[in-house]
Amino acid sequence: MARVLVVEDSPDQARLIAGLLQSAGFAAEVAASGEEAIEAMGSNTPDLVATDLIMPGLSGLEVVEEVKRRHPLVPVILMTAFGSGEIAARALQKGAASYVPKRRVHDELVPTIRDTLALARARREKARMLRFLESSEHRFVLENDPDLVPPLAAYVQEGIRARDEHFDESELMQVGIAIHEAMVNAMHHGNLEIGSELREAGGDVYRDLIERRLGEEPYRDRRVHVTLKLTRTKLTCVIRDEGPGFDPAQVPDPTNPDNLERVSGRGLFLIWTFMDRVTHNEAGNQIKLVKRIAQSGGKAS
Amino acid sequence: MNANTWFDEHALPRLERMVGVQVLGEVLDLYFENAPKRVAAVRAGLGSEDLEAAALALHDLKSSAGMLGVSGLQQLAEEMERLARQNDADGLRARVEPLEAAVARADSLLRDARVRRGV
Repeated sequence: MARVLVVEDSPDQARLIAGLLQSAGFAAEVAASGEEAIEAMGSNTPDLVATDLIMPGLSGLEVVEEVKRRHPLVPVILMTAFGSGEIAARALQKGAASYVPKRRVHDELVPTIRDTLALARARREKARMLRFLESSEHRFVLENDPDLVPPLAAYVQEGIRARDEHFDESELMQVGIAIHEAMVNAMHHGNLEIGSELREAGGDVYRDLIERRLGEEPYRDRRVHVTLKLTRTKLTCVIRDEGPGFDPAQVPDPTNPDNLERVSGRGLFLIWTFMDRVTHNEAGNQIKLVKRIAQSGGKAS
Repeated sequence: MNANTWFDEHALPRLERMVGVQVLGEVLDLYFENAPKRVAAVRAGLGSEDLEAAALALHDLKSSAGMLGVSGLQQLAEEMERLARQNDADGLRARVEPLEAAVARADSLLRDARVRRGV
């Protein structure tokens, strides 16, 4: 029997909602405040939380944030009264799974909970199944289109998140930034052969040259080859361009924070800072980034 | 607003079908116990210039009334909640007595309906 924690400060509404859930075959428990709910969840985690939005003390919005932080696999459904649309929208952005208007609660709460629980169960099962996945490898051959970089970074982040629900959010962001920087380097400096000194000079010259070379031989036909390998313990991302390569020894020390101020050294500095291991091939047209997952601050489960 | 729209006679039978007689009885008991406390909280909020507390009490009253089909009370509480959130103490004060009358009317209608349903 699925357990639902109802967070509702109004005793009559709480009793009615609990009654609706019990009639539908759920085990319903009631917390009279957000604080009480968070405390109760510490010792006994429910399958789903249905919370009022406007309450004294911890609001429904804060309940959503706390539950997402402490119990990321437990979905939260909001019960919203008329006039609380704006705060409900914010709660949905914070990670609430769905919402039910209070005036429709008797008709819509139970079906919404059933649908949400089915999705959450599938997600938990998938997460459990993925814990048994030893490794996965994906290869992409990308055009020199910077618009492809954010989705690629998001793809990597999703892969890590699927392995480890608790992986630190800021580290996940840093992995995305490192991949972004390495990809832009491969496209602009590698394939299009645009020197970083031009970027340092600023202005439109750099952007104009990118535009021109995107339509010129041999630059336009070059591709970026990306291999992503994700194991239980680490992410390995190899990014290779089809340009002539560069001498990595000539690059300003990427571990020196002074290079943070330089446009040209900034990307590599970020990559070196955010990833656990960074290496180039001899030809200088390939970079290999490694991020440990299990040993990271994210504490893989 | 006429009597039929002020109170939806079908609301309690619908809830009874969903949760049963016993739970509905408990819900009504809790409503009767808490509605006067909410009105008192509105008065107290006005007295101490804590309109946020008044708004929270009105918010609860609005939702409970709506749940039980008492649209007349729901709409008045909703209007007063909006005034409280706009910090309009005078507008709120002018509606406290109508609110008390509406709560008394809702009380009477719900008790009658309860007797008729045998809840």
